[in-house]
Amino acid sequence: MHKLLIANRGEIAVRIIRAAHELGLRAVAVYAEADRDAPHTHLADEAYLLGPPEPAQSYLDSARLLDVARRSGADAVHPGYGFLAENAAFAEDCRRAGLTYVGPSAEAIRQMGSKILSKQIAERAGVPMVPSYHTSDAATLAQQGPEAAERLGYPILVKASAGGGGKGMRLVERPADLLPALEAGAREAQQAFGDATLMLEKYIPRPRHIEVQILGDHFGNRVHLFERECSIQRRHQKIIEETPSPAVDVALRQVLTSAALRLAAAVDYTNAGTVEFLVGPDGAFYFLEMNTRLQVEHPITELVTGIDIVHQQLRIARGELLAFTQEQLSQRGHAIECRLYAEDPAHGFLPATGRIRVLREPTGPGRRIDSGIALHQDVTPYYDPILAKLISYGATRQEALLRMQALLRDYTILGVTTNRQFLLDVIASAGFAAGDTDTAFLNRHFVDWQPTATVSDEILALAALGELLQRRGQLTSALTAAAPAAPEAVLTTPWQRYDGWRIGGSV
Amino acid sequence: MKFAYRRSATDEQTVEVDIVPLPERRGTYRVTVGEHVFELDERLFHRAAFLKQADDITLQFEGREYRIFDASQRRRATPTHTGDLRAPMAGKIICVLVQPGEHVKTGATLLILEAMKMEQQITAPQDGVVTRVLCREGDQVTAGTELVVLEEDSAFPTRAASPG
Repeated sequence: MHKLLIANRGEIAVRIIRAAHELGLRAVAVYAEADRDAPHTHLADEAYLLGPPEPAQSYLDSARLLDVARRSGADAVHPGYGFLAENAAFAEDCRRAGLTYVGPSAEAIRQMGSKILSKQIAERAGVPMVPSYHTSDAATLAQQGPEAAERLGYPILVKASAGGGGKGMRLVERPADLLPALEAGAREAQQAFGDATLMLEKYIPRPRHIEVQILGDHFGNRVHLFERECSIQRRHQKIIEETPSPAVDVALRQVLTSAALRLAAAVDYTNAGTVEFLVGPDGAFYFLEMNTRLQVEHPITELVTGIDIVHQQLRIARGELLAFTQEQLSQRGHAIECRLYAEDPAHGFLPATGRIRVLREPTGPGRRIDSGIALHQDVTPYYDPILAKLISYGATRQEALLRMQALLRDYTILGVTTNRQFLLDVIASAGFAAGDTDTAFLNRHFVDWQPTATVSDEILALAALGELLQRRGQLTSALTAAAPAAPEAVLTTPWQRYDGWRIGGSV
Repeated sequence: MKFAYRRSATDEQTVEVDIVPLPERRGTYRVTVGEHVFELDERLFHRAAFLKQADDITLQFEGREYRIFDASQRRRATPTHTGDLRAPMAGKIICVLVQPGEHVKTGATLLILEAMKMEQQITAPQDGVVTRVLCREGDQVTAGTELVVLEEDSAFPTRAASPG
């Protein structure tokens, strides 16, 4: 492996390009027209235009990607996350084209990508599932349902077998409500999916989302890199993750990680993957799904284990043995990640667009920023609105929390609406500080969140100063990124001089 | 220099803010907001960030983000800004804010002249179109030098204050 094509964009493409360079590989970027000036386009050794901004004609177009691989002479492909990262056909096409696919086998992607198949495999591997009752026949369900519900234990969920998105779903807390819920659920399911079939499922109150990171090489060696808790979600999407989970003790960690490794073994899993679980307040846990790719939140695991997961992905893909055993791995300290999104938390998390006019990404001990943006870049509506990941590390959870608060306060981005202040308020909340988190945390505590920034006279005074400095040209974006300077001192770096200065001598 | 702000998009009340440099301490300013007077150091913008797009100001300070709305379109030209398009005194052009062809409204700042270490805004005396700009940033000009040519444009409607 000597030349890696990164079939992705944004912060993850930047992350992978850097890892490729660190391992002595050449990096090939691909970009859509909207990303002509994006950082990933410029950081790679070569960059190829895929086409129009729409994902289907750019980052999702496997034929174009394979064509770029051929033209550039790349011998390996890293899919990142999202786009084609869990597409078994793309993994297969890469291998057929003689390229090393940095990820698991196409077969493992296919098996874990199927809702039904993945649950069957997990069940066979002895991974706990959410207890449920199925029957395809409405009459049987009406007849057997009450008894089945008693066995599962109330409260239970009535769900449409065909569906998702909450359609036909009902929470039933006591036996008397079951039959009416079955009737109403069937009507709703019929309308939504054309299929009235229902199932009963045990309802897990206040579950946490906890997942286990796995690495496997091509020689049958497999390790876990402990857990991550990702309970802070909006619209079923994670926005804050941490490790270790405040809710996982040594005993729970042991059973979670061994269940994850059993599932990975069942599909001969190679490369990096993540097994996701729901964990109830009683410590009971249930399989959700397996993600057969690099995860957005992988940096927090890197910080507490000291393992560079992208390096390991590339090493595994080029046929190296895992360089460490399970016994050599440990969790040291605590890490938290916040996903900075271009979205408006005060208005239903609607995606926001705009040009980044001011950008300061503060560095310092215990701060890591995986960023995919640059000053003056346009944030377009075409892709996932993630801008950057803010990651903090501390010896303790408390230290990581304090650092994350400071990082969120110091991180400065103007020109596009982001969730920065929302994240700051969540991180600074008593509930989060107590580790009292579950997947409904934001709905419970932050559903009506508004940016509570009263404009004081002092702030108006500061605005006037800002406006004055801007009119004088003392607040240009470059200056804003550093500091205001006296007018004669503005043109001090060679890059801002117009007098013929050049690297290696004058013109 | 005077600014007029509103604290929210729907706020009817306009707050006048007056900012003057303190000659004895370079980089510091006295800012008067209503009855409050602040002395601010420009180095605050190591920590704060400011962005103005049209009438919409965003300010980030100590982790909070503030939205402020420029209300100066509602303001008549104040007596300190006579709207004279000639340099009122000898000085240096430090900022040219308009280009030929640009529509401007009464009171809009066209350029800023620095004289005696003080700044003077040259503002539009009426709605109109900038037909010529006769100076460039950094030019030294003498008193009475014509700086901008503005043609009255009665067909150009005055825009109401932006709702934000």
